[in-house]
Amino acid sequence: MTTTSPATGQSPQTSAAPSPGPARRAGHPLAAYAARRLAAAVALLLVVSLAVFALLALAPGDLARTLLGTRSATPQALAAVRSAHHLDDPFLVQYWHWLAAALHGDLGVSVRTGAPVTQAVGDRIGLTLQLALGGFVLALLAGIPFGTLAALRRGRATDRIVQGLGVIGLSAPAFASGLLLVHLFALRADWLPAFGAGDGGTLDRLRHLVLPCVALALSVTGLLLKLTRAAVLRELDADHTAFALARGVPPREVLLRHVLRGALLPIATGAGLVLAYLVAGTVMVEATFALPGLGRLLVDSVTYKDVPVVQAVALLAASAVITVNLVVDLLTPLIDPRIRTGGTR
Amino acid sequence: MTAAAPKPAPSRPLLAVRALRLETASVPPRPLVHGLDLDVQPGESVGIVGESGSGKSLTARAVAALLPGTVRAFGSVVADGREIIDSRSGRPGGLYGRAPEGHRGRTVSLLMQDPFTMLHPLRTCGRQIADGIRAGAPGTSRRGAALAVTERLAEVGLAPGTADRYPHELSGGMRQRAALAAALAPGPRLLIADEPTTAVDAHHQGEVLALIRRLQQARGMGLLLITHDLRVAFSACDRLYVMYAGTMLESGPARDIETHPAHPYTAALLAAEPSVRERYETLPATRPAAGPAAPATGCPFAARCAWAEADCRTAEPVPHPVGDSTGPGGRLTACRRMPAVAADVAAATRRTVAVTVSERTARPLLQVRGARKSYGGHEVLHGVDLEVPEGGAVGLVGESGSGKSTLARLVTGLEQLDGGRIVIAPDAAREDTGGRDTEPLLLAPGRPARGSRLALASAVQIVFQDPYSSLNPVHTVGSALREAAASPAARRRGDSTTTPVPTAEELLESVGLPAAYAARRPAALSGGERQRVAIARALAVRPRLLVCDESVSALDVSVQAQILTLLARLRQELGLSLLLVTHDLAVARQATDQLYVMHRGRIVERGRTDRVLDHPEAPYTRQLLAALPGSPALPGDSGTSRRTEG
Amino acid sequence: MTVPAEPAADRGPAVPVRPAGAAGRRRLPRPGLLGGVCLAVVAVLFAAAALGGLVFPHWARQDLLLGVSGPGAGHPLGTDDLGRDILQTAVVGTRSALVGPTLIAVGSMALGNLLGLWAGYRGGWADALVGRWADLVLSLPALLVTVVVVGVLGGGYPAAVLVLAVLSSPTDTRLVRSAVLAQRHLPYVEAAEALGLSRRRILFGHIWPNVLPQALANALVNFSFALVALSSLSFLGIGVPPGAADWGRMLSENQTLMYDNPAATLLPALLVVTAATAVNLLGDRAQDALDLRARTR
Repeated sequence: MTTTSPATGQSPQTSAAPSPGPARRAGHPLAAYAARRLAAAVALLLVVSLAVFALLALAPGDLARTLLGTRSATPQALAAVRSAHHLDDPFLVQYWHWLAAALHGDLGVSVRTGAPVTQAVGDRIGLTLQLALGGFVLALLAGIPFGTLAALRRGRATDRIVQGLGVIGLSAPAFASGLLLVHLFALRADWLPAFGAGDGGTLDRLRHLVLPCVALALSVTGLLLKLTRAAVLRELDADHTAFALARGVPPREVLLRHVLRGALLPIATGAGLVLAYLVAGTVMVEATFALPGLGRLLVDSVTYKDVPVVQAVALLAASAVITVNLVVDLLTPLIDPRIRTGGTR
Repeated sequence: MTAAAPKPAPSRPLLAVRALRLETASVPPRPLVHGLDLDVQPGESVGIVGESGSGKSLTARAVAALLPGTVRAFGSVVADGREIIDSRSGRPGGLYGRAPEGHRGRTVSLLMQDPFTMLHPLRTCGRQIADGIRAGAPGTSRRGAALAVTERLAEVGLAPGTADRYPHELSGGMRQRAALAAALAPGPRLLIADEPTTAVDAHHQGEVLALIRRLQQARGMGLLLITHDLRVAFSACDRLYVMYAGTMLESGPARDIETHPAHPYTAALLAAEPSVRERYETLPATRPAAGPAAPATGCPFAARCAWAEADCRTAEPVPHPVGDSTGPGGRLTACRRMPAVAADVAAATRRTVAVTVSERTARPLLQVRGARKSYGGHEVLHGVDLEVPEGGAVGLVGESGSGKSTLARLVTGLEQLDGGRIVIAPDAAREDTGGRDTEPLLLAPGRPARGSRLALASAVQIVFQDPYSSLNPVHTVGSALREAAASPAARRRGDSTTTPVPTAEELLESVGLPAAYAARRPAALSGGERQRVAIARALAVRPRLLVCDESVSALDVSVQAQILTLLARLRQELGLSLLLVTHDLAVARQATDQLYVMHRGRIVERGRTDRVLDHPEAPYTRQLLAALPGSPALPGDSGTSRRTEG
Repeated sequence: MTVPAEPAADRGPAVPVRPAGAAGRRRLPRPGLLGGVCLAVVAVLFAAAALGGLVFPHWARQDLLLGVSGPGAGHPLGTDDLGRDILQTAVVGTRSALVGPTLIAVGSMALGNLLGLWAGYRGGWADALVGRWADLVLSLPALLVTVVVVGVLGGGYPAAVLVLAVLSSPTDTRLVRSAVLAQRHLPYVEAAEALGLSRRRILFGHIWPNVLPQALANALVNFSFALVALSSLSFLGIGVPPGAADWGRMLSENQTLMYDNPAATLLPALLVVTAATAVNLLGDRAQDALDLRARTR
């Protein structure tokens, strides 16, 4: 996704003006808020799962043949597939069967290998999680401090340089920066392995993950930097920051307890966007570094039209995104008392 | 003519500003404040008065060592014996700007304008006050700070429980009190208050000022009050500095300045200020600034001054004593023609009290009967009656949230009635010309048909408050006026009037602007000029009733006087009726014949403007009059503590 | 920390200080050195996209005998494993790198602006519907969705462009919607209503021109995002068919040549980064200029 401009990237919670006057209301606004968010997340998940399921129906060619894949399309085999997938039932009934099975952990059989989809996914999810987590932590460690620094040095050389690097990071596809890293650190300098996930040893795995994690972190850092800088700038410009300084609160304390405290909210609500970048980046990085993770599985399955696996991975990615957004939504009341006390919607 | 300074000048002032010069950090630098001298003695209350752009707020920021990074400061600011301006870099500000240890907080604290943005939304009031307490006394224990927070809250009349509240849980008035408690928490020796009453409801302004004054006296603290409002300054300050376009034009004891201004600008400012007690024939307004930019040399006021000579435009103004007063606290004026022209200035700015208008017996143009309006199940108008006579000027006053703007919008068709009706009488001139609209226009609850809406729009037009958003920034003045003159409302009006459609140039001329302004975009106009264009746009329809919704309240007082004079002239020339919605009783007194006082969605008093204001009957009207700054009946401590419950 | 030169109530002369010559004329902000460089880069790239095929009509000529080779005579940046000239392929590939993003930026702007204007002015259910739609799409990883949809359903490059245009539109939608919401109760809009002007006139004649500069700045950001996304797709083998001149294709096909001719992969990588960065920076600068104008208005 593209980054939104600072002015519009904020969530509705932060943009709603606080209602003047005492706003403590009867009931539990927090519980109502949590229930609303949870319901929205479940609804969203249903919509996405429907879309994912529809992929199969919309895929070109005969469904049964698609599902049969490379196996010989004897009439018996086709009939077996038809009944196994309830292909003669109406679309929504098919969806219902599929969803019920998915909820029980049965996502069907890979067309390509004949193995259960859950197994293929389970084999690869570990590596992908390691990669994503590593990239995310690196991006956090770089993006937030440098974004804050750029905001504090607004308009000066530091700001321009940091911002410029951020834009390059944002504009560099993970494969391009990945190949550059491979060229510099694996081929020229031979410090780190170029491709693959290593032979399984922890240390070796770590060594193999360094370059992919950095490549992944680069694009996410650009985004975090932009979000952080905009959020911190807005807080620095706020009246309450000047007022805190004016009554003698030490600048260090103003920065930590006023500015960063206020900037945390828009950064946290940008988490969904960050995750979207992270997921997309993972696919690209795994392709670039020949890492056998979920992203690689997805691309291979797409190439071989292995629809059940594609569905599983897409559903997994969507669930991850929705869950993270939900967690952030549920955590925002801890940051923002206006939601806690029902001050806004 | 110098009254005794309120206190004998002690040896060391609390604040001594010498030759303070502020300019932008751009290339080339643009001057913002030119060589300002200013003193505040311990315990003294000093005001800086100026219209927008006078540099008064920047001066306050400079003293608080809180200048934005885009401004450089030169000269000297000594607070409590310490210099805070590093004249080598000219940079006293910035988040990590070098202010001497304890300058911000223990020596100087700044209370800002807007209670809605001044407090951190994510932190409780108690924590924000405790911040300040620790800034004043580092190392205060948690328990000690908590006790002190309760004390500070009590001082401003807030309950101890307020400490656990977040700002959004408090009303605007309570927030301003909590902010005041936070500003005073470090125990400053000088409190700078930058327009502390501007964002507060008129009703509470007197209260907030009285509270600041009381705390100042109780603490023996110096006060530097920044305001655009002369009434506020006179009621709260011992001594005043008058600034204009970054230059100090006059200073001296407040009472002296009020009675004997020693600069043509101050005299004009005083003359432009309407009064709640009298109505004047006209408010003698200075000529509007010619072109937006102040001249680079000479007296900045010269271009608008009737007494300016050639020298005024070339020689820098130098403050010199008025009469025989010398020394600190004495009177200074920067007018080189003083005292030679003093008598002339006094004569030219003398105002004649208008003779009481005779009762009008014109038939009503607009009748509102039992108007009701709700938003989201909450009724804001509870059956309101209002009448505007043909050619009359009616005022509608009340505090914000009283429903007065809603009523104005109903009359204009921007909102729809939920109950009651609005009747607009047919144009009397109609029968002769045989045009349309021989029947009265009746608006009932619900959305009216397009025909009715257009008929209403052709009779009633509105001018809003904020001149900066009244005009579309991408359209030129000329195209905005031409669009209005060709609008459906104007075409509809054409069916029932013989007045020809005015051209953009004619419209500009009628509101006192040069025709060349048609080619300009709003960004090249000053606030007053934009408001004139907004009036011209309304006039393009040739309406019979002009609704002014707080149309002069965002303007500087001299511009306000010009617009009020313009409105009076338009009424006379065009036979226009006026419905003036305002929170300002003095403006209502000056510009209207009939007055309606509104409170919580009801009309609580109505009658001739002079009678209502001189002999108010409704308790609420009395309360409004008593809350005015400088009113003899300022609500005392008992009045303030009544609203302490959190 | 920076505060506006004067607080809100005090903003009179913030306007008048402008030199008299600028009287109300709306001027484009000066691009500055960096902006100038970015503009130049973009101009060169678009020229290459337009003229590349004319200048190098024989870019696809193979030289299997030569095969992969490093920089040398006749091939300043060497050749790939089919003996095709790297520089020529890259120059010709500019077209597919820019055409798609342009279509996506324009398409998403059109879709986003229409939806945003409609939602913001109409309010109520229309606003709720459009708002949910924007929330949904914004939370999806666009690249992944495109991989899945185009990969499974087919359709190649045009399908990828279409999907990305739709997926990019919510930022425009939100931007325009919030701008419309912010403006529709401003006095100048209400004054237009009081004049009896039609909704369409108010929406397109009054509100939209004020939103347009922001929408254009956002379109630049969308362009750069689309450039990255499309080249990523062709790197994964989705979209552009094999054998076509395309930066992403070059990268994936020449990945194995990194030891023999690094330029074969590094050149397209650098080109993608440069093009996306230049456009992104232009978008940022436009945004900054707009923010500044809004603040000094």
